[in-house]
Amino acid sequence: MKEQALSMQRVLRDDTLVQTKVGTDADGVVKVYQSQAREDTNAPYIIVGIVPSPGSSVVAAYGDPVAVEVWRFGVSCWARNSQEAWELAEIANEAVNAGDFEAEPYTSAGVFLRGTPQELPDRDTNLRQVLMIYEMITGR
Amino acid sequence: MVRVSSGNFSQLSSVGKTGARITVDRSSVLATIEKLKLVGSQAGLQIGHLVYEAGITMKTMAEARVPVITTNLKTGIKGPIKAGLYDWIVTAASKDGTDPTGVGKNQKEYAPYVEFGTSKMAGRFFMAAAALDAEALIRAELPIIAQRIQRL
Repeated sequence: MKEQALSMQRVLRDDTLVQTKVGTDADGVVKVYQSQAREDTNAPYIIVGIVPSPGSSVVAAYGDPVAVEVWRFGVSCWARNSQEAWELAEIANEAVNAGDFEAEPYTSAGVFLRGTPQELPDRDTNLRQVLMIYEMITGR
Repeated sequence: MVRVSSGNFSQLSSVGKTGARITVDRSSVLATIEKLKLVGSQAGLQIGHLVYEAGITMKTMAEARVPVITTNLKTGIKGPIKAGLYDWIVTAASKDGTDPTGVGKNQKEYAPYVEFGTSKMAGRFFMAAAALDAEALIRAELPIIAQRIQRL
């Protein structure tokens, strides 16, 4: 699971438009984080969260057993207002659609947006988040 | 039952015509139609039960996965509520819950913050994960139902 989450983070960090939109933090790292942002980070930024999954299933393809696994991620685009959050979500979605998610020993069979992105308010600040759930299918 | 024959069929003309004939018993056709009706009703019934069972699983798994401090949110998981023939909904709302101690009763709704996260806290996705658990149950059970129906 860690490899898949890292590959999602890498794809977003490597995208030029995402880089331009979110910028870098105090350490010069593109503001795409896992689970939670750095405390001193200002919006806009992206969080990649892991949705716990029930597990993998093994199928046989041409006699070779192949473990097909499905991983799910929540990609939260945090911004200072609604418009900025949706703009960031669109850029992030394009980056995911164009991304290469290969993560040894897994072979990626595709990443798909599941459901409809939704905008949510924050409990503690005036920030807005647009959340997208992605499904990544891998084989090994 | 299917019967096949060939020869002269005198009932087609006065001189008789040579031909081939295939016949299926009317009673067999009616029996097959009755069997298909049974298969249809059994499939509907069994899939209906399965989807309801998946709804129960969704609630149970949501309760198992939700982070608990005051039990407001855990006891605020309600359902499954029927939304259609094969459609069940489970909801989570801290305001619907009860805290047996009465100490932590929260009047504000915070379920979406626990599920999707805030700027200071990672999302737990307990409802999304519970839905996936229910989906996995349906995927595992459907082939078993298909086998059961094939045996009818």
